[in-house]
Amino acid sequence: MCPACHSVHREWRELSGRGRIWSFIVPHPPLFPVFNPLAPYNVIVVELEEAPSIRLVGNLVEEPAGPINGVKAETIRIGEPVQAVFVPVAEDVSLIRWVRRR
Amino acid sequence: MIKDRTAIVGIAETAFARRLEPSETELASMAILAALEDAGIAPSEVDAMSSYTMETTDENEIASNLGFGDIRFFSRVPYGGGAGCGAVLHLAMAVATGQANVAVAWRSRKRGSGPRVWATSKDRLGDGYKYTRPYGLVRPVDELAVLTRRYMHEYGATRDHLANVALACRRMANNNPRATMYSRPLTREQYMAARWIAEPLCLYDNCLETDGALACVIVSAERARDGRHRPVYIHAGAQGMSAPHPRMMNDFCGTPLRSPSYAAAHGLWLNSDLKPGDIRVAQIYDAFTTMVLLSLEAYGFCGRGEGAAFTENGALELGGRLALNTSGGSLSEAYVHGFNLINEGVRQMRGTSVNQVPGADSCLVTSADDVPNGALILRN
Repeated sequence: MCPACHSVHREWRELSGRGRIWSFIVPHPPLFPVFNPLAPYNVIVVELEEAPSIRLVGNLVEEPAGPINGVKAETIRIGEPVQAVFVPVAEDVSLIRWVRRR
Repeated sequence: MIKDRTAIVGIAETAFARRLEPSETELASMAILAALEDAGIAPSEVDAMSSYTMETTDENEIASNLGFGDIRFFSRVPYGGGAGCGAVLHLAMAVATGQANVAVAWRSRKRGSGPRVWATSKDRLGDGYKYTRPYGLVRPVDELAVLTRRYMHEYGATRDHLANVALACRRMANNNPRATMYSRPLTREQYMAARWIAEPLCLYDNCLETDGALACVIVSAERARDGRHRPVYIHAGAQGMSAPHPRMMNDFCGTPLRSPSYAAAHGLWLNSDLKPGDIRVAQIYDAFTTMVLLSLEAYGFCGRGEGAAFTENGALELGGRLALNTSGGSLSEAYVHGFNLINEGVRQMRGTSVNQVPGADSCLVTSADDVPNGALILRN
């Protein structure tokens, strides 16, 4: 329910996919078994350009299909502009990844 | 108003260890029985019970094990480490309003030998975790690391400030024979060289993993005056969820750094004769070092963004501005969802802490900063 108008009507809205890095971390094991071999990798939290109070979690990658440990963590900065890309990982699941916007 | 109308008259805990043989049910029963013995009250007199929703043993099993009388009030408080102070508050309210006479709160957990909660995650998630775990943000420490990095960015906090918290708790534990880290000193150099868990948080920013149980006994202030120990009055208490109710991620609000503690703090000070400036010793929930910085701000010991600087110059040590977690806390005594912080607050008010703050006449106790939570002010 919308806390402002209490409507239960929902709809999809297309956004630009642009955002900025709000925060980021570099997890190390122990993690889920699938993530342990990838660690250390990055996880970024992105605030959306059109709605900065909405933040999405994802990974910064060099290219859409690139691995989540491909970007050197030392180079990541809060405030960096990023662009959403979508990567299918199963027949019915796509994950959001982010590439740097220059 | 519950102000000073009830008191904690018994406390106890089991041993703390990475692995204890008894079950969680047995540990809970042992801790509650010992707390009643500490209070000098027979189990048959107990008529109220409160614990955490995460507690695995039902109330009627505990009551049956220990031989309680008829139970007239029972409650449980949700949100894991957010629950402890709320459970005590529920019982204080029950006793102050005449709903019950002898109340016990407890927490028993085999988190040392049992599974990490996050590691039991399903392959497919329907709740809020579906927005975070598929990206490798899987553990509570990862969530706190996100907040920590942002906090450092906004306010200029450094790892040295986090180390101030970890080292203060460790030094307290080094004086506490019950503490897991009693004989294990920690230096700033060791902290800085420790392995990462989730950058920017290292091993020593994380609490322990502990098997153990604790309990306390609450009665009316009148009855407490005839007890075995100096009464420890529950001066004020509050639970808290801060609007607009941020979840860790994907929330619709200004900043997650305004934690649920802001709501708890508001209710707490509203009903207290004391102000933050009157408090010289505090037991602040410390599953992660960052939580202490955020709680110091929320409970009004300093302004927004000043929690890091507050820790400087030994402020959290014995003899400092605010002695912190004087038993060693979750970081260095034991991690039992913060119940050890409640019992240590009681010891400070009895004057029996191994790190006694001379003349302390009030103590703040808080539950986990980043989830709906609660807090208490104890006094003697």
